[in-house]
Parts: sequence; structure tokens; C-alpha cells
Amino acid sequence: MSISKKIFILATAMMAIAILGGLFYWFKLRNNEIVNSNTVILNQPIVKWQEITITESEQNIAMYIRAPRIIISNNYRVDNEVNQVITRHIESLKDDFISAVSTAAEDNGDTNILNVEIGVLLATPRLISISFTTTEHLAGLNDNEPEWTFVIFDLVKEELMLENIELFRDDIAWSKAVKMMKNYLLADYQGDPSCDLFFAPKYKGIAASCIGIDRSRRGEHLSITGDISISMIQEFLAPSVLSDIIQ
Amino acid sequence: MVKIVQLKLSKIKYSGDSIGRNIRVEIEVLGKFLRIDKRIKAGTTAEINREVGRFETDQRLFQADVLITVIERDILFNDVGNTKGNIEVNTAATKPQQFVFEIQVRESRSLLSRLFWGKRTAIFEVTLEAQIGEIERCTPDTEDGWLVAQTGQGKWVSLPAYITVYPKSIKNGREYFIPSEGTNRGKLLSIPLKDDNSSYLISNVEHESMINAKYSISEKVFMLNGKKYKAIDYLEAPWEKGIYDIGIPDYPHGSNDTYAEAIRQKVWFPINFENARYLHVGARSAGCMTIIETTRWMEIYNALIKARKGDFKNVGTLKVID
Repeated sequence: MSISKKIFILATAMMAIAILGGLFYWFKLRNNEIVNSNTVILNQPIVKWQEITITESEQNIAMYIRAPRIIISNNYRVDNEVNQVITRHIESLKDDFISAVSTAAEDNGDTNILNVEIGVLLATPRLISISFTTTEHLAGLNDNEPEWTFVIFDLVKEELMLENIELFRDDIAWSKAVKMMKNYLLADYQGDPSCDLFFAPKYKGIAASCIGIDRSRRGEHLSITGDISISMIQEFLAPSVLSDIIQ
Repeated sequence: MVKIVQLKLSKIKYSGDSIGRNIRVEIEVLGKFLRIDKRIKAGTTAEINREVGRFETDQRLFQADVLITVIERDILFNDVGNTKGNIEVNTAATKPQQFVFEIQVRESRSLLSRLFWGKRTAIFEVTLEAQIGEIERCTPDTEDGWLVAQTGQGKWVSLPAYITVYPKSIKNGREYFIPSEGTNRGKLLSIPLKDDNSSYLISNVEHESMINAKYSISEKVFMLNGKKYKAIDYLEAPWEKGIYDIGIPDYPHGSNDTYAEAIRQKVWFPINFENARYLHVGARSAGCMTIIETTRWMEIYNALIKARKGDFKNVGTLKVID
């Protein structure tokens, strides 16, 4: 066999190995076996809105929900996950409301109304921050203050952010920020509040609420909402989150 | 209004001849049965104070047949006497009402001993005491652990499972009641009756004795009934060694959808350390004692939710150790 023929065969074999190797890596990546967050670049999420009305004549219930549908054009799996998380939270709010109607509302012909106004506070290729403003009217009862709850989805890790700790530099920064935000929300409140802090990032700040009871008012419902300015907590935020918020 | 008649065996007076000391008293009232074994000396009175049963009634006069049997227990020959009687309890009375029954027990020994000792008869006075009380029910354990009720001020509040309540009335399809423990103690609340006109409130709940839990700061382990559960706290807000009360859950916390695998995740137990921290399920802590074994939360929940310390506020104590 001539030398040129040997070189040709060797080059062909090397090319074949390179192609097979590339294909192998690509398949592994597709199956999510290689996790390298730096290589996952998602497109900017697109938000589409849908109006949902649910009525239940037996219990005189009407539920109005304006919900987003998140579309991430280059990753169907992630956008499916995000939308499932949103749906789960809506279902949880609906369940709470139906349970309250079943045992607390009067059967006086008045309609029990749940309004869930959902807002996309922040949508970047890294984070989706969503707020749920819930207003409830139970027949025969005085309305409570609206409640503000949140869901944050980490698009890079492809999971719901639990306790929002990843927004901050570390555990200590998270804890300090939580205390600071709660104190800020309750600073002007007169009474003896006992409430849990909920929060989520928004453009140039943090949206926050504290939901619980006021012990000085015989355990009456308490819901305080407010915005925390970026200057107040920026020292605690993780750099990537900070850049997302201030962009 | 429905009331409850609590009937107790108050005391046993032993007079007449002595027939022995090993006395058994059996009382049967409307299907409830009490048996007491007690060593009693002739000529004395033994205080018993044991409940025979609780009976619900909406009548002004509660009547019931009573069967009382007294046995002096011997190895060979038991001496037995009994009586049938009746009690009539005025349910409007606030003071305890007593009913005394006399039972004669004639000794029934062998023929030989009869020749020596003759036939002796003991007289037992058995005193039953009826106390009128309000009927008790409990809140049910709902899907998320909270029962939403209406207050008299047109607001709504949430009650955890197994809160003792006193039903007051039923009006326009709603049942009115007053919780006797927890955050909403003493408030007049209401919930509707179910579609079949039965109550959401449940009966025959036996609260359990207070729990004694432990938490190891160094191991980050919560210990309960010989089991260990992984937990986390927060270094910057450390727990201090000591004994703290674990309270009855106060109000719903968080949301239902954070931890898919943790049922009753909205039920947190307050701990009276530094303005109420909590024992709850979760992943992080800003000072609370957070159980990170989310799938095992129900074991802790089930142990705590029915336990009572007896002060209307707490389910038990937590000992924080090194």
C-alpha cells in the first residue's frame, strides 16, 4: 500500500472518530447527562397571556385568573416545567379558596369570588419571577386584604427556587436580607404581627409581602405588601441576580 | 342545647360486717361499664373519682338505669351483691349531683366456716356523682391541615386539626362553637353543616399526653419518640440550651405547593424561644428548626397534632441540648 493511501485511510479514520465523538457528546447533552450551566443559553422567555374564568354554580363560585404562558423557544422542556409550576401554584390558591368557601362563606346567594392577578416581575434567560395577587370575596364576610405570593423559577437549574436562597450571595446574606426586608415591611405597622415573608425579584428591586395574623387584634388576618429598593439589599444579592435585576 | 353528663364513681363506703378487703365494684350505665378493684377495710370510705362515662343529652332531666355489683374476692368463694337503680340528673344544675346506692353483700363461705363465724353481711354505699358540662367536639384533620371558620365579626380564621371546641347552637344551617384552646380560644365561630346535615366537627378524639422532644444543636437532629429526624437551623440565630414549649399551630404558613412530597406543609408548630420560632418542614432556616426530611414530616405532624400539655396552648416541650 502506498504512503498516500495510508495517510488517506488514517485521515478518514480520524475524521470518523471526530464525527462519532461529536455525535456522542451531542446525544449526551440532549439527554442532560452532561450538566454545564455555562453552555446552556436559553432564549429570552416570551410571555403570552390567557384569561381563565371558572364558575361553579353549586357553591356560587366564580374564579377569574389572568395567567401567563411562558414560552422559551429553544427549550420546550424548561418552558413546560415553568408553566407546570405556575399551574401548581394557581391550583393551590384555588384549593385554598374552595376550602374557605366550603366552611366559612354564607349560603346567601351571593357569589364567592376569587381573583388571581398574575404578574411577570422579571423574565431573563436566567430567572423568571412571578407574582400572584389573590383577592377573595366570601359571601357574607368582610374581604381580607389581598395576598401577594411569588414563584421564582431558575431557568439554568431548570427548577423552582425553594426559599429563594439562590438569589443571595450565601446563607448569611439570605438571612440578613430576609430580616431586613421583614423589618422594613413591618416598620410602620401598629400591632403585634406574626407573619411569614414572601418575596421575589423584580426590575430594580424586590417585591415583598408578609402574610400572617395580628395577635393584638385577636388573631385577625394580616397581609402587608411593599417594594424593597435595590439599594437596600444589593450588597446581599448574588452578582448574577443583581445584574438581571438592574439591567 | 346539647349538654354532657359526666358520671363518676365518687366513693365507696364499707360498713356492716367485715367480709374481706379485696373489693371489686362494677357499674353499668347505658352501655358504659366501669370496674374498680380496691382494697378497702370495713368501717372506712374509699375515695375513687373514676369516670363511668359521658352521656350527651338535650333533655332537662337525664334518666338512666344503673346496675351496680359489689364483689368481695376470695380464692375459693366470691361474695357478691348487686342492685339495680335509676338516676335522674337535672341538666340545668351547675353543681355536682350525687346518687347513693346501697348494696348488701352476704358472706357465702363453706358450711364449716359458717358454723364458726355465722353468716355475715357487709353494706356498701356506692356514691355516683353527675356533673353537667358542655359537650366537646374537635376540628377535623382536613386535606391541608386547616379548617376555615367564620368569626362573629364577619372575618375568617383557620383552625388546625383536633382543636377542642364547645358546640353552642345550630342556626340557619350553620353550627356555632367556641374553641377551648389555641390561638382562637374563646371566639364564637361558625361553619356550615354538611350537605347531609351532619357536622364537620368530630367526636371521640382522644388527645394524647404531651410530647417530649429533643433537639441537638451540634448534630442538627430533632428527636421524637426514639426516632431521629435531620434538621437544620441557622448559625447566625442559634438555639440556646433549655426547655421550651411547643405550641398548638397558630395559622397557615407558606403554601401547599413548595414541597410536593410534604403533606401538611402549611402546619407549623410555634416554639416559645425568642418571640416564637417554629418547627416546620422545609429546606432552609432563618432561625426556625426546619425538618429537611420532607417525606417524614407526617410522622412528626401525627405525633404532635393530638398531643396536649394541658395548658390550652401547647402540645409539649422541646429540650434543646448541645
